[in-house]
Amino acid sequence: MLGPSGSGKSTLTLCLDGLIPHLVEGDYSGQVTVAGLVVKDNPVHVLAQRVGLVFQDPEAQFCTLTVEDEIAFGVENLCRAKEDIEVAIDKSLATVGLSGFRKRSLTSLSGGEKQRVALASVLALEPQVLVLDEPSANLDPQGTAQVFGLVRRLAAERQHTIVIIEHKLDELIGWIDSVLVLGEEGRLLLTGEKRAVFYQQADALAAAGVWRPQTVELVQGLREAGWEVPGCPLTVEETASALAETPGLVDRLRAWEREETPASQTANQSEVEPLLQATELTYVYPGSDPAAPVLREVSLALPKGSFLAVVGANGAGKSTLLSLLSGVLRPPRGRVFLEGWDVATMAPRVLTAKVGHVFQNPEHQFVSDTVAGELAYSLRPDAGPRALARLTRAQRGLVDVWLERLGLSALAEANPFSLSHGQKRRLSVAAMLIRGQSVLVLDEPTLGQDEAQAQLLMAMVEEFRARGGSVIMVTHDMRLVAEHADLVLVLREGRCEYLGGPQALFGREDLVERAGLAMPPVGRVSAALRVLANTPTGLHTVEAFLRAAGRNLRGFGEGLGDRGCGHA
Amino acid sequence: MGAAMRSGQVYLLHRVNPCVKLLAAVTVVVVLTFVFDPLTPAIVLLLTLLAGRFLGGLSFAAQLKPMLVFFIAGLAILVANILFNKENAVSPAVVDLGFLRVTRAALWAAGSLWLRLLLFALVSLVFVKTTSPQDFILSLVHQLKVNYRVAYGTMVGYRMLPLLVSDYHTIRAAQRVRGSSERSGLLHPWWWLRRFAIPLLAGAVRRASRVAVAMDARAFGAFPERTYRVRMRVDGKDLAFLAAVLVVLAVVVAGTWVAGVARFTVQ
Repeated sequence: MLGPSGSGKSTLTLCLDGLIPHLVEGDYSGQVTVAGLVVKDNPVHVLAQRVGLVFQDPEAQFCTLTVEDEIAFGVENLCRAKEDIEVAIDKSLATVGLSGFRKRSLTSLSGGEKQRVALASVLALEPQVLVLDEPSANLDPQGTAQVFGLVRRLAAERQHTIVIIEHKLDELIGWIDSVLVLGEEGRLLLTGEKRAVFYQQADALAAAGVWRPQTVELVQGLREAGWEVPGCPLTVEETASALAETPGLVDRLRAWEREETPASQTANQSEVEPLLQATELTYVYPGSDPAAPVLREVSLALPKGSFLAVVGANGAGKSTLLSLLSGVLRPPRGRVFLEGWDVATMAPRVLTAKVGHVFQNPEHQFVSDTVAGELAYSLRPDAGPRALARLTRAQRGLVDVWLERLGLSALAEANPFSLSHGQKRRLSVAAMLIRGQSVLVLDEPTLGQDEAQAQLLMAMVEEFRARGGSVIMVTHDMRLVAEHADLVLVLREGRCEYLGGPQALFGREDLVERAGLAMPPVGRVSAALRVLANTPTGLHTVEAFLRAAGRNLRGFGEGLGDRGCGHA
Repeated sequence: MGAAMRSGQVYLLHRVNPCVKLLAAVTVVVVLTFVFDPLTPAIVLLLTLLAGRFLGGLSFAAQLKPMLVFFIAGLAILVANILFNKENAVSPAVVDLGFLRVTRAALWAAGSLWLRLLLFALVSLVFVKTTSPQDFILSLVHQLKVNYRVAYGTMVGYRMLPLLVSDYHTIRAAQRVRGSSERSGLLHPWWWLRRFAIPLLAGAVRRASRVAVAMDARAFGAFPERTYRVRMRVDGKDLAFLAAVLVVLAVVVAGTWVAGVARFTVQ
């Protein structure tokens, strides 16, 4: 199930297991039938044995303290006998591959393990339908791989009907049968077999701001450039073989490698004075064990106008590094320098005027009752709640320009908490950028955002960069890394495992795996194609791939986008 | 099956039924509330410390360190009594500096109050540190017949407390980055408070409603009763523990009374 944020996907999932209309109030019309039961005529506890729901935030769906108690919870609610409960716990833990975890405390689990326990706790009720509402949204790539691996196994067993909501489904595309797309205002936009939806309705999806598989974007881009890519490939493997069979493409890529590679690798910025610099930065939280620092000897230099992506598994020290670089946490003396000044000795007021730090949850940074007030406060923090009234004419104009740019002019007087998730996020970024800082630090800014919202946000960030700003961003989205970053810092257990360009990083599969990262989908297509046809590696984005392929001058295929696939 | 099999604990205090343990703790606190000499609470304090160490497996340091604030409070109580105890005028002085008389009555009253304060704190601490919250909640449902919906609501609240604390720290850091100065906090205290309270509450309410949906989706509250994988029971060991606590308490109080130390009135 796909659709932009706020299109009603989560509401629809609540309709499937009867929480709507039985427990959530509202106007309800029409009829939902699940596994032969009319939802409106059956109580929630009966439906709970047919439909299992797993939600996005693992912290906000547990109600006990240990794994076994959490799984027992639902079965106990159904008044099952003690022996049956024990059997249900063992069986569902085995299904999710966590048999040894029975006695563990929930707080000791990683994000991926928590989501598997959440899944086990609904599997214990033996539902026929599993509904997963953005199960990977709060997970790092490793956790996502764990959960998706489990979903793939369940899908392959064909015991359950699975409904999954995600903003990005590249990893699961091979296991999906059909796609349902909700549009604005909760209307059904499209539904059908996956190849038909992704290949024949591509324009409608793009217009609705809905994600499309990277493989589809690649194939369609190649077709527009005149390459006759056969079939309608969706998975990485399908796409690689389709590209290998595309007339002339493999030869073109090999030729590109001979011409281009030396030139693209000589991009060198080491001559430039770094804007932000960290030297052998080690950090221990006050009161923690000095022998187990969160960061160990991390060094980096950020040139003006560059984009540094900080990646790594959860708990690797990414957010701590960000906080030390932006001065939210005070770094040790002589370790972090901004424009040559030691950050440890800078006054907070001076530092915040130079470095903007956008936190994960935009709500945490809101200070005002109105959207305009948020922007005004950044310009006059000393005026507190009266910032808007104290602005100069020029500052007032600047606020208006930013409101216009954000598309929030009509909502200038609205409360920031009433905005949509994407609007909140962009407002929090704008509240940082309006002060004209030289460094912008972002902590997983695209988390939980749909395709269109994420693109708008990245456009803001790129515009800031085009005006000479430097960006440091923590993200789990390797596609963003491949498309935007010119430097990547890989953290693993507090140590710097890699610092360099994204091309070289994705070329080292051992490192990507060891650091708990995932290859971007197009990168995997490129790697698979190399195995098949010995083409060059290093094509990790659609853009890079299309640039390497260029236009096919030999054949001008017509109507290639409408090949008769998808009606199977 | 009781607490013993759940937690695999060898120490007695971890295995005693939480409600029985609570009853024992409350009895100690109530009885000592009406004993107004320093010696009786001192003896019970020592016994609790030993029980915490040898029946509960808590090191002395682990028991005493969290009580630092109560040790400091003792000083305040002492100073207040030296200066303001109404019997100071008639009581013999232990130390007489001329301008300051430290009387026997003042030391007696301060000691009694302080040691009881320490005792109540230690009894609570040993109870909390030897009781799994999950077992306690179950025991409330099984022994005290608390409605299970209320009990599970309490447990969810307990789960959320650490999240609220970490949210608070994040919000503070996030707000600092906005360039807010302490001065504007002093000028607009109400506005300042709201800046923390609103994001904190918004997050807590959202999380709570999500948990509620997740619980309902697993048939929570479907029937007036539900079954339990683990049923908390009261057995011979629990009754023996309660009896032992009562006997020891009675012996200590009777002993100090016979020795002429214990007093049951303030005077």
